[in-house]
Amino acid sequence: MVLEADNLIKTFVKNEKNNVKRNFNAVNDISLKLKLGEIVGIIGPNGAGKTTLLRMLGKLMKPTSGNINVCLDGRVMESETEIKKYIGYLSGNTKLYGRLSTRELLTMAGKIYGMSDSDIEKRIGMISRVLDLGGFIDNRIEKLSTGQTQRASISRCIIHNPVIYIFDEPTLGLDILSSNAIVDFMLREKEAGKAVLYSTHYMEEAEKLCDRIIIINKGKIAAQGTVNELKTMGGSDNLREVFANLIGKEDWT
Amino acid sequence: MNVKNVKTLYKKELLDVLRDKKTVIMMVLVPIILYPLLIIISLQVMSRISVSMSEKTYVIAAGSYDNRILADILARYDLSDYSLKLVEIDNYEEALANEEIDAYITITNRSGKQNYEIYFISSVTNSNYAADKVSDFLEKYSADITKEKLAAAGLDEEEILNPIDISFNDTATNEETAGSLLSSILPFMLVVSLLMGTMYPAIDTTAGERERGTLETLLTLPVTNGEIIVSKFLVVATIGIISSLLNILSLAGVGVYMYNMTSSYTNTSGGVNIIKFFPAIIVGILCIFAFAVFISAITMCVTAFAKTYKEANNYITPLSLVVMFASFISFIPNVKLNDKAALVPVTNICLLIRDMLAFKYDSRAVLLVLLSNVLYGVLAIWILGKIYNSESVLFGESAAGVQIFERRKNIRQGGTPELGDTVIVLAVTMVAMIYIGGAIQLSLGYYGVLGTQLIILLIPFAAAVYTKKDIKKTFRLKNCEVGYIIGGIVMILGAVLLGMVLTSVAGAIFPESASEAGDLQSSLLGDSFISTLLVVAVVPAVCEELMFRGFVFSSFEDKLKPKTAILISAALFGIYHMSIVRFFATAFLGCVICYVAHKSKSIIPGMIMHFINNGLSCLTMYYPNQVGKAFPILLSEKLSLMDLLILIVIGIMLMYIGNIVINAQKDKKIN
Repeated sequence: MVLEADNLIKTFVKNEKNNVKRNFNAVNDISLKLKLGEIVGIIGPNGAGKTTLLRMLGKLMKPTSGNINVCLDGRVMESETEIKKYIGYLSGNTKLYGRLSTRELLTMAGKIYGMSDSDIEKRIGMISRVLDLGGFIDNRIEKLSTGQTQRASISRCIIHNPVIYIFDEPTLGLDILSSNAIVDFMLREKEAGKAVLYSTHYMEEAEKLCDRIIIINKGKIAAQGTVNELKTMGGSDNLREVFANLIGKEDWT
Repeated sequence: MNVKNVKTLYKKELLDVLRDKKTVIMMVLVPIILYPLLIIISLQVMSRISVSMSEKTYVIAAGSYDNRILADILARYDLSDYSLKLVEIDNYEEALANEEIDAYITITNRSGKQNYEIYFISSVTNSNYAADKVSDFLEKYSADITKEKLAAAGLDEEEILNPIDISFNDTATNEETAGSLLSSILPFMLVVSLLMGTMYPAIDTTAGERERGTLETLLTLPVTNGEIIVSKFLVVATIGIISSLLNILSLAGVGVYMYNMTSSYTNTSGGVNIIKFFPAIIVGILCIFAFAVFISAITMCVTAFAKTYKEANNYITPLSLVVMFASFISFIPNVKLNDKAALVPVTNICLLIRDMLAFKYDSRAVLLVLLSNVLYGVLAIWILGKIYNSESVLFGESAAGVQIFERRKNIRQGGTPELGDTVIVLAVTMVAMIYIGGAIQLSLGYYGVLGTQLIILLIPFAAAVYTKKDIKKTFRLKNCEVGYIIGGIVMILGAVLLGMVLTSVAGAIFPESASEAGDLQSSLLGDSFISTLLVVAVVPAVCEELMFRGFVFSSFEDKLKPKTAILISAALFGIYHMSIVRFFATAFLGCVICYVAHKSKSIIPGMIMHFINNGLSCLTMYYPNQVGKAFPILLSEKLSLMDLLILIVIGIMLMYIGNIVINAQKDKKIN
């Protein structure tokens, strides 16, 4: 088990209409495990707590209560900064510094991950070949096209060769070519023995990719298992219908 | 904190900020091109105006009868010397109102003395000048008449009109003259340029980063909150320093240009020896660095809580007004750079530079000003680091909430005051205390002092009621175990002794402020022991405790870590007493009482502790002999090193014992 989360709870103070404040649990007692060499999908309606859950697992946000353990080669990691060195986190919200070039961004990130200058150079060369950054790696990021920006984003989150990937809706709003590139990337990393945890709204994509799927709703796990297990549970052969059946139709709309 | 990470982040931030057009324009274009251009253009315009004014001829008139007399007088002089022209006009009043003429004169003859009245319109520039010219001319005419009369009487006009000769001899060196000229503009220029220079990078690296959504990316990296804030702060300070240096260099350039331009036709003797300004230049550069630390920290404190660029801009405006106002204080001639002024931010920097340019060197003042600026800056960054929790900034609502200005029906019931509200309540209370408190103390005396204490109670209470806070929780209105009270009493006795040590050390550092420590001996405090005890010990123990250990500390305790909450509210308690010498002792006392309030969750031990502390000073004031006999050490004017050691040892022992008693209470509860 490379990543283990127990009883995560995240409480927010929500500002409702008229500035009335109310406490609510965006994530309400979720436990999950992640193994090396598997892709786990998180699906759920908007506002179910997917992003909050992934932010906590990526150590961007502290849980109100609960534990997150990262364990590698029999070593349990304690400190937040150490754990971050093994996690590649990517979401629609992780925007890039528009006024820097991709190469500058990667060099900066590499240094903070504690890599040596020569390692950084080698790694950038490798990533540039794999993701085909060659044409624009020295251009300012604000000048890049959407597809190029997405590739630069991926390069940013893999510069330190992480073991665990946490992706929050990585294919949202991308064209088929760009989203295929990301899907291929996740499969490749899985083959290489990495762990991938990702959230999505696209059922077909999740069905094709995921070894396991966790359905969450209103901050809680509604159901989890392999695609086939979920289909049995939901009583349908169509993942969309399974999803709707499992979380209750009124929540789906 | 990892220095390597700070360095990497610093490089990244600097690159990012320097590639922003707005920063570069503010930093380079404005000082290098805009300022000199403005100054040179305004000089040109000024000289153009003065030339056109010297060439202008003003049209004057007199009443139809007077005109003849005036014409006779004018005929004796060359009118072009006075740029005047006389015209015949019928309705001179209307002509003046229509600005056809610039002024008119009426002449009356009263008992042998001629009375000339000049009519003009003070709101019209040309009319003003015309009146001056006419007055000049008439004075010359009057002098000439005098001369003629004296000559007719056979007297020596020189001897009678100018019996003594007056001449001015300026002993100021060229350097002093230049220094005083510079000191009128340089301090303000420096403050404003640093403020302008830090504004945009401060907004860009905080609110800007938040708005662009790159902060979340930054947080995926293994960096701590502290590293992010320190690196951002260093970038803001760097940009501020660069832009300030560019400003001053460009100002110097313009100065040299103006000097050359004027000296080419005034031919002033001797130059200015730059070497004499070396100390001032060195201190000036140190000032830039120290002030950059301060102003960057302050601007970041303000912008960090804004969600967008626009919001940050709105927050910056009042800050710049306050900073500019504080720098204007140094223009007031009688404001001197004493110990107190040296601790007032912004003003102290301006006063120091002013003094340096007047060749008044005081190494103590230099040290105080530089250190206080750095200290305030570091303190501000530290507080920012504590409050600017990346998580709340990134994902949550703004950290420093303000509810006071919201409609009451929209505020949710319960909880403790928001941080922003607490800061506003403190500021309002301070201002009310100084102005209203000062006024009622002047007119009501003893009852005014009591009234001032009521202000301290009423303002936070009103704020808590308006924002529907949990009154019991906010003001800690709750019973507590007797043990907390006993422990608190033992602790406060120790704290009083340690406070004496602190006051005595502070008195040695700030000798000129030492006298103010004894301001208890005021006629305002009543005439008997009991009435003094009431106003010095009983009422403050209730009012100040409810304010500081109630309202302020509850608000901080709820949102910050206990240690941070105690330190900040204790420092505020120290500042509230407005005395440099007593600051350390009162802040320390505040720490101890906050600690007990934190442990006991009740206001009662604090009130008793506060009463004992103030009561003791009241006791020594009224019964010095008895107290002196029992504890001579308490009344000795100057404490020897041995005395200090004894006080420290006993003080620490008492604090230790008190702490044990207090912590025993906690264990009891668990069992």
